[in-house]
Amino acid sequence: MKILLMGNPNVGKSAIFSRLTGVHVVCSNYPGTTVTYCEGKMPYLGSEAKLMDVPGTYSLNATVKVEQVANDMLQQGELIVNVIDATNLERNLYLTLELLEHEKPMIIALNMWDDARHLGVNIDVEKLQQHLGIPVIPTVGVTGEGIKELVEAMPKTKPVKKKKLTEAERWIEIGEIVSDVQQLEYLHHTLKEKLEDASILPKTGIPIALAVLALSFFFIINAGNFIIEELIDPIFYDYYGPFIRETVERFFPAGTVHEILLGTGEDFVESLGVLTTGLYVPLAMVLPFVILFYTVLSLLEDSGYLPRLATLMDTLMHRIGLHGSAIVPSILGLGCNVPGMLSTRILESDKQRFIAATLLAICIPCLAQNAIITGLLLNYGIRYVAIVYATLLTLYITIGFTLSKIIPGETPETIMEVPPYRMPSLKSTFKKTWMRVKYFITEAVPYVLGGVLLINLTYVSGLINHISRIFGPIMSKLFGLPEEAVLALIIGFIRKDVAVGMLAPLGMTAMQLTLACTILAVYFPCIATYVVLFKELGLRDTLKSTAIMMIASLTVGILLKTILL
Amino acid sequence: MDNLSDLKKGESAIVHKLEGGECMKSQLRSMGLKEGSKLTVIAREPLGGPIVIKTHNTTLTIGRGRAHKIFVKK
Repeated sequence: MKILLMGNPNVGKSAIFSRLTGVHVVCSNYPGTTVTYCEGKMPYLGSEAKLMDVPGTYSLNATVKVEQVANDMLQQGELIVNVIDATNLERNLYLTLELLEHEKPMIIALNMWDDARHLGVNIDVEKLQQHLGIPVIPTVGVTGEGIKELVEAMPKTKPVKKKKLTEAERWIEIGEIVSDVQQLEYLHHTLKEKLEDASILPKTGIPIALAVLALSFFFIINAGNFIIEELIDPIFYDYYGPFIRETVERFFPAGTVHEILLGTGEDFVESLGVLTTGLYVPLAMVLPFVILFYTVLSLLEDSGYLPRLATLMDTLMHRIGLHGSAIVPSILGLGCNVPGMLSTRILESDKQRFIAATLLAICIPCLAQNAIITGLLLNYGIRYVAIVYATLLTLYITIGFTLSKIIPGETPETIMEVPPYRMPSLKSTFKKTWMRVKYFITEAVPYVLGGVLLINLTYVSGLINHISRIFGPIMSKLFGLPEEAVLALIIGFIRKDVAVGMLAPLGMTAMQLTLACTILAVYFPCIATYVVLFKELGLRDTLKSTAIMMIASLTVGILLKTILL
Repeated sequence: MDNLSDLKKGESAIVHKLEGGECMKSQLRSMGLKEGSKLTVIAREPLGGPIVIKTHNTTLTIGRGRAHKIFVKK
């Protein structure tokens, strides 16, 4: 049994999806497209049914990819749960009528029922059922109200006969239904609405945006450090460290294997052992920030804040050939470039995708990298950290502006819904965060372990000397860095955070370290990001993007050397 | 007749006519903005930025170029 959850964007579909499904949710690409959808299981009539969360669409016109996918998934569905927003009945009914014309068993979840009451929207559910000929269940996805009734009503619904209508005829029918079932009371502006307006008006919105971002990062950094110092470091230094050393030493008292596994020295960052640094960097230095970052991001998404930020950023982003919503890949990329890169597909045109992906690869350091850059440079003073980020921001604007002028193609006009502020559903926030964290653990940790192993092998085999001899002069002549820094650049291809960590023992000055961190951030994304970039852009555009990366890192390196050293 | 970008912040108007391709027009309608809809301008982003409007309970951010093609009557 395949059950489809369909509806407009921003109607609380994912909260209902979380309510209906268990923990086993898989999100993947719809075959042959870059549109993502999620799938879970729910108990249904004594057995198990597959519940598919179809990407939100306003209609089934099939003019954009998402609508084509929705159309396609619709063909496979055996029962449709159409989630509609009770506060926006008229608009939502358009998709409902289109769905009804497919004559499949269907049921309506009249969601946001509580909001509708607060807004003075009164809907006669009984009458609406009569008009549509199918069950209508008022629900509140966030609290779970009405979910039980929804599940009970699902098996009872039957398909209704429905004539195919034209667009104009549908709107006429909707007009008749709405005037019959809906009554509006005029209510005064609530505090929530005032806040909604304040956060989108430029005068108040920009200060609010800066405050939200500053607060988010302040919280993530501080809470992260607290968790690391109070919880994770003690585990690593007091329990795991002694245990793993003892275990390894029992089998390999000394020699190459001992060195590869444990590295040299007691320090978990600098020892560069597979079982010490290889586990400490991803699990202790990065994971706490990843969890916190994605929790905050999910809350910003689900509360409805991001579209407001996108609206405020739209003017600026248009100058670099992008929409305000293109700020989303950049923000996601601050967590990890891979999901950021994946999210460039929300952009409409090839030009936009290319610019957003290239900017992300060059100018947006991931959380792992941010954590290590700030951790390393803050020891010398905040101005070194500021130099790195000011350089990245300047690059973002310069490259974006240049690309928007030279890349052919149009940037279509923005049109975007801004949902009202809503209390995020903790269940779906938790689920979303967990899925992203799981992705980080399964994707990133093996790369770090492999990366550290590779570093050790280059040292043990003596390959390091050859590499330094060939590429070292480039580092010292062009960028004024020690020749050994070249190895960090190579490792940076695998994991940027490990690479920045490798810079620490090279005995550089603060300015050299600043320059090295900047180049590491700019020159190339990590291999995982690069693979996704390739998948999203194709060979030709990937090569173009790579050329831009090389030019950017050479220019930045030489310029910074001239200015700083 | 005025188009959407002529309206000031806080002003209300009725949508009289949509211009542009059929796809674009039906997209706007399905997002809640159609002929006869009453809208209020919530914000005008500076430097030629988008216009934010509210119609019924839907808030939309509409780029300036698109706003030029939405004709309204005060």
